[in-house]
Amino acid sequence: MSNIKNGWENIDEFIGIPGYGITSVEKFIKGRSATIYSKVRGIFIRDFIFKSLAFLFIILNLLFYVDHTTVMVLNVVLFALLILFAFIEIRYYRLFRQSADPGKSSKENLTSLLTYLERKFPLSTALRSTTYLLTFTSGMMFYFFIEYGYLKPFTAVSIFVYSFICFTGMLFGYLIDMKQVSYHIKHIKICLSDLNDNALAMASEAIELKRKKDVTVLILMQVLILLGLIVIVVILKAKIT
Amino acid sequence: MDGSKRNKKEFVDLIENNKGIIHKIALTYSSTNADKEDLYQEICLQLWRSFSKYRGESKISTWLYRVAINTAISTVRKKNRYIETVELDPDRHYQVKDAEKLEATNNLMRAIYKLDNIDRAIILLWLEEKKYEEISEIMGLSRSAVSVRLVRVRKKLEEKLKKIENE
Repeated sequence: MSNIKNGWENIDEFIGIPGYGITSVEKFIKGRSATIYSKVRGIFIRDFIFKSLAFLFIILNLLFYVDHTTVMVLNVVLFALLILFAFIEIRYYRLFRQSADPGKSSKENLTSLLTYLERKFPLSTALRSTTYLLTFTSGMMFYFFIEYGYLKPFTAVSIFVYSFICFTGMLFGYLIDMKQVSYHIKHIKICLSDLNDNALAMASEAIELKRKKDVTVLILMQVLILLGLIVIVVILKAKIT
Repeated sequence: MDGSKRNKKEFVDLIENNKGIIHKIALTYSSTNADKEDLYQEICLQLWRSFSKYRGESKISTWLYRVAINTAISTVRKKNRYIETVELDPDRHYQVKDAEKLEATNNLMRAIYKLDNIDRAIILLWLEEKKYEEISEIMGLSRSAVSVRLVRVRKKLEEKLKKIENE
């Protein structure tokens, strides 16, 4: 197997493609764009795995808590939210894949990746942070059924602890993903400026054009997530205590 | 800029950015330099003809591989020529410093030429690090068919390569 791959390693030089001679800088940049793509893709895949887990918990809860109307309603709400967020997430994932089409040149690839990560990624990260809320809440209900056979009543302290864990989990999830991506953004900017082109200026212009609109949508999304959390807490407190 | 001019510019950029891919496909399906150049031109022509029909339903690279490979296969079928060795350009200064590496690539190409047209395309896409899903999309085969065929082709290629190296 390695013989086959080794033979292919020098294929560009072997054919002597006219004017194709890729420089080591370009090779490095191409490599970087592929690495960044796979890292960001990893973030999406991790989220899809957690969403699947939440889906599994919700389905099991719907089966186990069939006699508990309130818990059933709560799980139906969680299910609806999960489907809605998964649908939006898939849309973002498609946009991400389009932005990193390997058929493009390194410059185009990095420019569109930068535009995506600067413009779309914060919003999709805010959405992804809700996965924690969905997985934790459904997982908690599942745990209570397995351990006690019913959902234990919530006291003021347990509601506080539950809200604190949910909020911290979502916040940390958001911050960790954003921090990781901010490192990639920085790296892409360095790579683009190394290409000695107007690519960085063009990408910055495209990003600035829509930034204000994106910030408004992001704030609205965060308010909605917070409202969702409050609604779940209120349902839990009002019906289960 | 009117539509046709923009189309033309987009197409020129597309060819410029992907000429490496087209050259590799041309090499995989022809050994002499003249044949390679002819096939390169033929692929570019077919890409231009179908460029206006490209609707963005698949990735541009997937579309490009699909058109280029289909063109290469149909051209080779028309010529029905059996390829045995690779013709190196006598005027070209090969940049591969290590003679062993040059020989390894030469041997690999000779082994690839011994495969049938479809197997050649599959191994080319695998060597280009394409995922099974993309190979199946380009070749119009199911993912499982690609997976099964790839295992078989790799084994066949290894055997042929070993035989050539021992010659």
